[in-house]
Amino acid sequence: MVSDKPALIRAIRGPILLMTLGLLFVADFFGSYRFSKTFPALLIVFGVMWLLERLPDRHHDDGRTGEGGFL
Amino acid sequence: MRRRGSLVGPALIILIGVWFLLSSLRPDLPLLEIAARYWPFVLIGWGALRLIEIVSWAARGRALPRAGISGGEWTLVVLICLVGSGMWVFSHRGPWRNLAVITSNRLEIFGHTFDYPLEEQKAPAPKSARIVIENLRGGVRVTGADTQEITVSGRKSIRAFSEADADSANRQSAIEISTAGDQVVVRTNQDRVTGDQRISTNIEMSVPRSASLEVRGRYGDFEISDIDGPVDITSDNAGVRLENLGSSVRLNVQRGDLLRASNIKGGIEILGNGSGAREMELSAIGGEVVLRTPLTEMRLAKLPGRIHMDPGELTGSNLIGPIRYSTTRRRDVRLEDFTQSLELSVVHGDIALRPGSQAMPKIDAQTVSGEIELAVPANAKFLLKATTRRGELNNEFGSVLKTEYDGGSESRMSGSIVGGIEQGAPITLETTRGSITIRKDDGSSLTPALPSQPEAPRPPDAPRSPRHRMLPSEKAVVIFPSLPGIFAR
Repeated sequence: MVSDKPALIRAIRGPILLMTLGLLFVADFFGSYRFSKTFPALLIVFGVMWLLERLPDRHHDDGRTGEGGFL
Repeated sequence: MRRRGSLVGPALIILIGVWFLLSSLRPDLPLLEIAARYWPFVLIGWGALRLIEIVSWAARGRALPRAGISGGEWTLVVLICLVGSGMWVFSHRGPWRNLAVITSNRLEIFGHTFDYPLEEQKAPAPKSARIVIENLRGGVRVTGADTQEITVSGRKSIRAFSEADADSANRQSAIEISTAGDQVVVRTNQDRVTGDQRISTNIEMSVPRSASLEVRGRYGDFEISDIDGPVDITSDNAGVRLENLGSSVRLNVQRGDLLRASNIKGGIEILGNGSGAREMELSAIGGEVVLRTPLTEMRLAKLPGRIHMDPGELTGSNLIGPIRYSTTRRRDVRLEDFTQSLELSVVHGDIALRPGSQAMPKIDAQTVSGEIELAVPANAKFLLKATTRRGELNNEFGSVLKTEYDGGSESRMSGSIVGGIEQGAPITLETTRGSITIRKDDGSSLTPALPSQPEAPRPPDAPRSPRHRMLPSEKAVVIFPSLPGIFAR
């Protein structure tokens, strides 16, 4: 497995957003959740993915002397 | 390592190919409807496939794309969302839904129509029964007969996405006949259906001739004949044909293609806040005729002859006044053989009047923009004042009348034709822009001629092709083979 986690998250961000978009439409068509009310979920998913992309990769950061480290 | 392209493109191409192949091989499948309903799953599948690909590439250590979904792909996604949402809204929600259902009778885009025959139902009718018919959608044909019972039969068309839905709606909307005292209520119960199905019930009834009738509906045509009691019809959109009615008629129909009433012994009152019937033909009305819509008002005492009104013209012959007519629509008016008095007010439209050989009626006719032509018998007793502010004055009647141009100048084209007998019936004609012609009545009809006879009813439409339907053969029954086109839309 590649260890470039931010690149992976960035790559899967589009497909996950697309799936979320599809799910919101399904919830609208087959459930009682109107897309006009649930569309902010797309922003949330986008924000979470962006956040995950920016979080420091612990595995990757091993050996680094980051601020706030124990040693 | 070179990264291979995505599988999504080929998968979409295959999907589109399968869709078109199915539409060719299985025209009975409601593919448009399926696409309108299930397209979001394409987005989910697309995203899932792409996700699996990327995770798989990452697991094998292959290079990852910078963006999982490219800009071009997002454009396609937006396009799919717009088209898919549009199809969904068109078929399921809002005002478009009604449009879809109305047009779908011809377009057959969404859903299928399932036909159900109505089992004939009978109920005893009290003497001088008051029959109330409630049918939201669909035609109603009522015929009076020498009988003491009410007979109801007909056909129900249910538009639904599946046969099971249609069956369920059919069960929920059973026709009901209930009697309370002198009142008999016939309900088609379409409002009891809870699902998405659209029901149209065409009912044919035979009732005692002495009955009175009250019909309520929203969309559907009415054909009522040979009833002696009063008839009251309320509908949002209906074509109405009335014939041989023994009492008064009250119509409150907002819109419709046609209103035709003939041989009505009582009066007829036509009300509505909508545009009213597009075409109206009244003949042999024994009582007062009242028409009141937001744009047009008409009232006359009796109509032994005929009135025909369409969006562009009102023609009438053999009318008994006092007659009052006013409209703000652009409409020409041509009236022949009328009596008593005539008050006419038109904003845009020509006026042609030929009172006929009977006693000269009092006439007050005004138009803002339009020509006025009056044909009076040579020996008629009248006192005329016909004024135009801008237009020609043509006195073809004779020297009894004088033409006076304001300021003595013909070039201003403003003036009056005046004259006649002091004790004669006062005639006032006024137009702001348009010529005025006064001539002798030579017996020829006003041009263009009044419509001679009502058009013959259209033959019934052939049963619609069962394409796109999955009908059990026993349900595909046409009940009204002899019914004219009034029920065929």
